Amino acid sequence: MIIFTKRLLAIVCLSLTLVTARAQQVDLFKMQDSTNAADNKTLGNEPVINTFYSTRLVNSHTVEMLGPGSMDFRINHRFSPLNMGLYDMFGLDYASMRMGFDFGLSKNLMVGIGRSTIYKELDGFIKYRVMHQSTGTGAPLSITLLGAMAYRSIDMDPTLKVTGSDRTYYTAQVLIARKLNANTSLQLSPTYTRYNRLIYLTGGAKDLFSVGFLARQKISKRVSINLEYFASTKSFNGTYDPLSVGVDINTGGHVFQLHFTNATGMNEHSFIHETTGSWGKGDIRWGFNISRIFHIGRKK
Amino acid sequence: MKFVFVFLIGILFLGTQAEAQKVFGTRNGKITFASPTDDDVKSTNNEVASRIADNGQITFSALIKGFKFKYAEMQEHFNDQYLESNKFPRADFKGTIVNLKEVNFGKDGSYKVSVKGDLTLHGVTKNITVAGMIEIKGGKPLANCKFVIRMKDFNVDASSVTETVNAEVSCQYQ
Repeated sequence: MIIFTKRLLAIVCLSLTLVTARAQQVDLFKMQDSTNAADNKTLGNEPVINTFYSTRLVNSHTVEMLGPGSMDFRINHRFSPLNMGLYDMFGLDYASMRMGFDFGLSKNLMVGIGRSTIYKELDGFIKYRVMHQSTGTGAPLSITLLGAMAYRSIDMDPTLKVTGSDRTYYTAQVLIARKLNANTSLQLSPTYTRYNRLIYLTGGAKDLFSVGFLARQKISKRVSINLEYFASTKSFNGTYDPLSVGVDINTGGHVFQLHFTNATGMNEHSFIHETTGSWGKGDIRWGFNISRIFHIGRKK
Repeated sequence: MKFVFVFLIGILFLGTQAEAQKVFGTRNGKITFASPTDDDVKSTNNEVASRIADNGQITFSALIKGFKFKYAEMQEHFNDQYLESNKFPRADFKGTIVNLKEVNFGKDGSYKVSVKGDLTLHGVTKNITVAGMIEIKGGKPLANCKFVIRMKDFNVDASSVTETVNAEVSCQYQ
């Protein structure tokens, strides 16, 4: 009898809990909140986007890649030095230009070609991303490799007997960047440049090493302030390290980049090693880059 | 004594029977949106989590990063510039079917519904009412609806791209 009473008691308790459970309505709103909270813990390990606004900061490449199927039409423009004075409208009467087309081939691969007015140079590059910074516990850095080549096509003194290989310059760069937070990104770019022959250049060497320092600080959702500097181990006589300060304005499909720089050249070997302007002497140029992205790949 | 015993067991069964409120859910709901002015601005998210219950409640939750675009640049701008998905990772909706009496979850058929609830997007919550359709087939509901989202209502500064988007929701529940 005692055992039976115990069993009865258990059943009473059980039915009571069931009855109270029935009284409780299913609340989908609360269910959604708790599912979202649980999901938030597993969010993360996403590739970091917008370390920089564009594939270039001023003259130098950033770790950013062009998306597959996109073409970037870039016009880089540098006026003449400010210290030319009022007669030349502080340099605005003359300009140097590079026009280029970049193509995104896959998520991690892009190529580009361009032509600069200075020394009538043609250049091409190939850029490959080996590591993409990720949120959460993923990769801490973005690392991109760049190989670039330039060909100087300007007429030169025939007595110099300049060959095609003498006119060619090679650059290899490792671009290492980290987006520290939503606004601040830093990049370090160890660089190697090869000159096959030194024409009209003294000092320096045929094999040159340099390191680039790039920084960007966003000041609003669409505007950032940028700094770009390259330090070389050996410099040609009469050249200076390039230093540029600029502003990026991102409007969606376009990025406008405005800057002050002492560099005239806009491809790797030329701006890193052949910058003849000096900030100290007011040899600073106003310049801008315009980037317009067109979608040309695979229409679905 | 035996009577009491049987009676209690009966209650127990009755209790479970009456309690069974039907909840249907999916993790593969679909939300698409497109700009009425720019053909290129369109996107789909195929991983929308949604639930619907026969008490009239209906919820949707979509990760902003789950919206896929044809071009990587667009997706980046969408996440970074417009929806700020790092700050506001998801879009949420919690609503109730206003005309629940006209819907019979136990019977196959198509039912026109009006759903009223709170849509949270880009950190802004707004009460909206949306007309949609619930189709019950083989006891499983399928929900469809179309509505317009005004960028300004949710503080999305995308006026250079589009003022509004036409959103379409389609969820097959299990």
